[in-house]
Amino acid sequence: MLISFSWLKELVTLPARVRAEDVAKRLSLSTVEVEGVRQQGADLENIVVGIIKKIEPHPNADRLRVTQVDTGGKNPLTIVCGGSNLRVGQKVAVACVGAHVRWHGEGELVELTHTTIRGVASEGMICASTEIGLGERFPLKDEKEILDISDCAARAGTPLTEAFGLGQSAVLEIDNKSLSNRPDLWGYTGIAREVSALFKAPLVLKTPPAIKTGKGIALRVSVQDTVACPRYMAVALKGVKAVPSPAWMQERLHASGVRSINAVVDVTNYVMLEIGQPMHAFDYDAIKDARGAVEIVVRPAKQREEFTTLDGHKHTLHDKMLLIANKTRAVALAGVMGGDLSAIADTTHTIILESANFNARSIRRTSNTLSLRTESSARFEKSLDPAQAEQGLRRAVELYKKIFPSVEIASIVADTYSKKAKSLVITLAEAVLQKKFGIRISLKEVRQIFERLGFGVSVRGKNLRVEVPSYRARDINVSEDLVEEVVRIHGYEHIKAALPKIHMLVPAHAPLHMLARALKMRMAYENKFHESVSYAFVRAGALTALGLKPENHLMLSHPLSEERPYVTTTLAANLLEAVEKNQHGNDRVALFEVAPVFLPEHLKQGVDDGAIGRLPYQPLHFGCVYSDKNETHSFAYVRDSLESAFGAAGYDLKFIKAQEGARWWRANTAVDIWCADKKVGYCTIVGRHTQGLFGISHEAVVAEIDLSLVAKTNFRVKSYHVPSPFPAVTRDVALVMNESVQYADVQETLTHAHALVKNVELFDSYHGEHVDAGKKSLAFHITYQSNERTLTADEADAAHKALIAKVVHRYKAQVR
Amino acid sequence: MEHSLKALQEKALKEIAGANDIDALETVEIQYMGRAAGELTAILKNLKDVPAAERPRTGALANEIKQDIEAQILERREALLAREENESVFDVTESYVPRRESGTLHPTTQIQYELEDFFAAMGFRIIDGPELESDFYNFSALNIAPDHPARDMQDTLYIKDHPTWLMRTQTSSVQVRAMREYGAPLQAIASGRCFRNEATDARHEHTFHQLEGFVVGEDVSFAHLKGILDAVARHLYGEDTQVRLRPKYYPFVEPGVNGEVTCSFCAGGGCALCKQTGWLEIFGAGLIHPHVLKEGGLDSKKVSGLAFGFGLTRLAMLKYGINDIRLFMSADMQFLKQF
Ligand SMILES: [Zn+2]
Repeated sequence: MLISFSWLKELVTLPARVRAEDVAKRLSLSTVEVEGVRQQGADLENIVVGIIKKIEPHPNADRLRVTQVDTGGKNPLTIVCGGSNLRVGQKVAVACVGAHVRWHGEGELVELTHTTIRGVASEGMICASTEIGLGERFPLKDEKEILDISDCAARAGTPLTEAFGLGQSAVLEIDNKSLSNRPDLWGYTGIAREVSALFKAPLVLKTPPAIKTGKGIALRVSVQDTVACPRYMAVALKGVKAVPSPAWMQERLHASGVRSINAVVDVTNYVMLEIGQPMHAFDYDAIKDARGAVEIVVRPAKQREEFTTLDGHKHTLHDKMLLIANKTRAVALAGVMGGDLSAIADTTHTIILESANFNARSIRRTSNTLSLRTESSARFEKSLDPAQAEQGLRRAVELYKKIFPSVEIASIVADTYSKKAKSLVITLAEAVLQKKFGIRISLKEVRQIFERLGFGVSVRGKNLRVEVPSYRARDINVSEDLVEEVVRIHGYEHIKAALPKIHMLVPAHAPLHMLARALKMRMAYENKFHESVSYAFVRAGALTALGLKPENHLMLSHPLSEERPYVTTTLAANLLEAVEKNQHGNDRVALFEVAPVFLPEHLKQGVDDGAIGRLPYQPLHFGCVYSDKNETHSFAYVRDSLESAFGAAGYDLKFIKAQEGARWWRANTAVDIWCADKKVGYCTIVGRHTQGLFGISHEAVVAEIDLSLVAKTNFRVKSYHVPSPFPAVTRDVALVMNESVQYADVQETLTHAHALVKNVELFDSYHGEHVDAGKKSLAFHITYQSNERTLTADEADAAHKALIAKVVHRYKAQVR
Repeated sequence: MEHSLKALQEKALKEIAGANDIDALETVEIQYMGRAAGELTAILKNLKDVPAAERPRTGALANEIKQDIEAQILERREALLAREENESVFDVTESYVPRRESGTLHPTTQIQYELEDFFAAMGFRIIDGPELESDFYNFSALNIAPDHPARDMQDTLYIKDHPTWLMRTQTSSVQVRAMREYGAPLQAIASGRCFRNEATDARHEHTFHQLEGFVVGEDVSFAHLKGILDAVARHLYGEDTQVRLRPKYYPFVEPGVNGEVTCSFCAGGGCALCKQTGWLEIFGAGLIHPHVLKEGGLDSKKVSGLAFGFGLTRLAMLKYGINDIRLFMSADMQFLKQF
């Protein structure tokens, strides 16, 4: 929204020293976001009013003229010009040397210098409207046309800014989003009230007089849906004409970013800007019935009813949209835009003026559905004050009378408003201000703030009785709202910062949070995985590739993209997609994620929904993928990483070969992961078929673990052994055995093979050359140590021999 | 005897000085100090043959010479080793092979943990809430009226066939849950993913991270909100950081403000990052609306509350100068590896 500073100053009397920038700053700190202050007319420097005194042909060019133009100086200027509408005595805009113009209305602004055009020196330029940024206000009718300002009273030499009343006209650019909760600020009046309170400056608001009922046209209004349309006012005016509106009105509309159309339409826009009340004028001839009467019906559209708005677009409506109609056809899309057939035309002499109030939700729905946003719908969407409709109508009639002195009221003033809302009265205690904000402010000052904002106030002892004006009914409901009014006008910067007085809480036991954090640190900094954060939503294809049924998933009702409509039940889907994305630039893809999954079938475990139901269970999951082109033991790398990361977090995982698994797991490579007595997840190599479905080129290992379950098991307290003061002895052994023998079993046997065994460490796992088919070779470092004495070589050898005998016997192994 | 001792000393010192590498020095050392046949060793062994009257004097002298030679050998050894090292070439820039790489935590996680530690140290409890929320906790309990635009399908991701289920639009949804569970007084923070129905481009993302904090108790005031926000701002951007509050409407706070800090990149002078304003908007805040306290089972006449929320994604973008928000959710290792 654009606010012209000069217009604003007519509504609130500001001290002369207050500049537009000061107002912008105070508004930004206390009311709305002002995005910037633009100096209007800054581009018009060195452009003045000129009067053409003489026109002669150009000696060297048929299409050019050489003119003598009076610009208030001693001698007229010689200017070469190609304008098609030049005449002697015409007032024109002359850009003098040093002015900035846009050649032919295109490109950047260029500084004007002395030039010679086809051999004739030119001391300036007679401008077209588009060349000096006035194209919108004075649209070109012909490409070669220069701007004719003969009807302007200013004398030759007057700066153009002054001639058009643009002088020092600053415009405040207000961010509409910051106005969303303040319908009263959608017009100059509302902004003026704020400025009045912020600068303690008096408001200059005049109440327009009541409209005297007239005769001639029978006008009837009926509203079928009073929720969607709480108030509809209308009146017939005779004696208007679609002529240009006066310069001052055009100027104000222009400064506020609204294009001038004609006086009839301009008045409706002017009132909308001034008061914030959207208005509409219908051409009487287009909506009257055969007997000259006008019967307006506010009704819902019929399903698939078609309507053409005045911008020429045809819309197909549905029955939740509201129309303004007469007996035979629709004439406006209520609160959004009028129809093309009833628009003001050159032939218009009488109008039906509408000033109504529409339900915000209904307007928003219509405007969203049709993707049709207008100045009117933007305002109604915010919930306007029904009382404003009457002020709007009065003000519009007042303005029409001013522009068309012979205008007549030709009907009754129709008004469907039955129940006037009772105004809200709230009591505000002085102590509350002190308590909630820690500021000391006198009741007198508080009272003045409210009065300037238009509230009714009376003091009752230490309390204020505050009556909320109808235009603030939307955002002021409780005493806290009143407190905010005082504090923001007073200024947040005046509140002194302080920390709360100490209050200690026993920390809540949060094992899940601690587990997640410890796990993330270890996975990243010890096991060299990168943490990924991804969407909660997945593709159908990713789910089916993992053997999951999309229909067993929750779905977004309006998916962001058709691609990912499902709310995920597994982290594996997005992680495997990430492998595909990363595999080209990285030999080693190692990613993990900690995020909730959403299980629709476990409602009993979900948290409450605040009503009578429960939400889907959303356990926190850990997932990781690993695919390394230079690693031959990926699976073992992942499993060991999990073991150490969870171990460090205080949870011992057990990996037990899965007896049966999902179809996308590579056969014989999967383990179930257990923590205490709970099965908490799996780890597997991705089956080759599924690997292909995800477009992954190299073997990938995936693990997924339910952290919510893990955190419910008992946290392990680390145990320790007293270190032996005596030296250890190490012996190696390499054993060849059947491939079907499990490493974990061998490890277990070795560990318990002899009392002196202190540690067993696998250092090589091999099959291939030199080892028979179907066999594998495992090599171990075995550490022997006693807590009582230094072992002799003989003792160690004897123990080693016994150990080998045991393991050879048990697994039918050979020593290599 | 004394004379030959002195001569021996002189000769030994000369040879030590003349030894040009460690091997030569060792030869000299063995020649004089060798356990079996060292020249000085032999003299010391034969001290018993010296007449008793001279013995103390000669003994003392011999020992003195022994220590001197030992010291000279040690010194010469150090000099020779140093010379050797000085002459060697060593490339301190050479990398270890194979290259050692660490994994990384996601940038928003890092900022989240940094802030969690900060608030935990101030006595805040770390809590969480569901990402798939009910419209009650996400909207109604937060005083967001049924006809509020935020509830539109255009802004919120609802779950199909479950009209009261949605993906939470802000972490504030934990407020009422926490008040109901823990009551007052309470100071807590919660962080995590939030969702909006928004088309994705370099500046917009439908999934983003927030951190929410709130305090409820007797006499919780706006001054306290300012105090906490000042402390966070200084923690994040340095001691000289200023905070500026401006009115902003959020239905669940009254009054509501947005908080800006002096731009840490231009120190408030104005730059591209702060759009020449000198201020960066980094949080929303306010005093908890009485409706919200009531839904939380608290008596707004006795208890008041403050609340604030940060966009963790935005903080990370500012901290690292990331200009494309989509990178956060991309799982792109080229991006992740940098943090
Ligand atoms: Zn800056």
